[in-house]
Amino acid sequence: MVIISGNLQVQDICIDYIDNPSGSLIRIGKVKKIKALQKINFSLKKGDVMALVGKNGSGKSTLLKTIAGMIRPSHGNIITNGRVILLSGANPGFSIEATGRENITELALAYGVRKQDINNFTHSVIDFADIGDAIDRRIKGYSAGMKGKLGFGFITGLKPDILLIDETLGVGDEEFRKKAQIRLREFVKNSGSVIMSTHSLGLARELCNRGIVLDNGKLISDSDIEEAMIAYRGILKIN
Amino acid sequence: MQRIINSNSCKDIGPLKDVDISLDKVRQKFIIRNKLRKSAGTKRLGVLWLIMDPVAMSLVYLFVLTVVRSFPNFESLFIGVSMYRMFQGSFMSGVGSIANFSGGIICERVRSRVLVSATIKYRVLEIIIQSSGISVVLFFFLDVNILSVISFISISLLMGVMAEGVALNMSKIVRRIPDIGNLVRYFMLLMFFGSPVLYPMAKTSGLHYRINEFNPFSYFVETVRYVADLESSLTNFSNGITISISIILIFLSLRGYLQIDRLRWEVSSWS
Repeated sequence: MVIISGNLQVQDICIDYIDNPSGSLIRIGKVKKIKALQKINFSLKKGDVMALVGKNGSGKSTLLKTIAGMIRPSHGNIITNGRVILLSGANPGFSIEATGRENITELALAYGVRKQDINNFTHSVIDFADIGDAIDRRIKGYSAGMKGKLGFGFITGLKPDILLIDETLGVGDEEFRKKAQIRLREFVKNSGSVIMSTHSLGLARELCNRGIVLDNGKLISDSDIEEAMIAYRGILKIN
Repeated sequence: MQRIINSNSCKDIGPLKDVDISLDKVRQKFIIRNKLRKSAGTKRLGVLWLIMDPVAMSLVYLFVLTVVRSFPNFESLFIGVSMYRMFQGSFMSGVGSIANFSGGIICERVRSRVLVSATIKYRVLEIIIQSSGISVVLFFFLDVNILSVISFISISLLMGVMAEGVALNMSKIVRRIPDIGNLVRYFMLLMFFGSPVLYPMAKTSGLHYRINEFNPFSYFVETVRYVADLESSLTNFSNGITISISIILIFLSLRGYLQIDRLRWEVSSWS
């Protein structure tokens, strides 16, 4: 079998969340299964940029986390080739007790940035975040916006084979969002293949060549981006 | 690197490349540094608190026992209290380990072997730091010989690593029924006063002595006291019970560490 970095196959994936009731002695030991995804099938080739759309609670984040190896499927297989990074929120794992600069350096190594590239990487993140002297203060004192800028700048400086993006452009002010979109475009170009969960249909159309639509945990469309957008509008109207 | 994800596991297929192996090493260091920062970083004196904690606790109990005229043996009490603090810290860390299996690297899955290795290495590091303060007290102020101090550190290390491994077996049930976590905390408190911590085991008798014969902590602490030439019941322990407890401890401890991969996978879909 030929292994190509950036390839992804999702075969018959089902996810059941196990709800563990607490607060009642009588129900101890009993678990409730919540179906989050049902029989999801699709594949991704190197170079594909796929939009993942669906209403809130349709299973988009669950699917991305499962592909990233963070949630156990109850059925099916996922095969990934190459490094998979999930951009979810804007915190790659900052320690609030360390300064912004220390965090970038330490985390960059932990995310596989080579020692010789650390300086360039750090400068690129600092330039993007543009938080001034605060970069040498402990993250503990940062505002949510500052943390968001630093986190987004950090993650989008990495170069994964498969990039999963989970609606992360909500952080920061309008100016930052514009900057973030530009950086995201570069990031998408530098990554092998991308799945991007978003509610922004304009962004999806601009960046993606394919789209899949989820509704109530089921995949209802897997097609080129235009058809996917039509299918998505369809569920919005129907429901 | 190809990865196959299914309900049984999340496995990387094929041999790891040099770049993956060095990344794993970097991640281990990152996780250990993060853990150390979490336990010491918020305080001005940082790691010094880890060193001072067992010393301070021993002094508190020394004071209490002196007030009630129990005439404790200083060396025995310092060894008992400090070893119990390390035992308790290691055990509770194992029980609560399920809370975070990301290792602080949120955007990418960290291989389980990295987590296992970082967990054991951090435990070793923390025990060395914690036992260093007491070692200084034992050697310089209480005239305990160097061999005994070395055995105190070595046995504490063994005890800490094993206690965390054994406790890992309980982490799933504690996550599922958080009330058990409270019971464990009360049990640890009871164990503090019931185990030969503040007194050597020879001071106990009857049922209390019999129970302590089945208490793993007794074996660790009494061994150190024996090597330090203090009052100890080590030679009175039954060989059969000693061997049985050793086998059970080794088995549970290995099982605890080896199941981290399965455990993190299983609980990942718990809401």
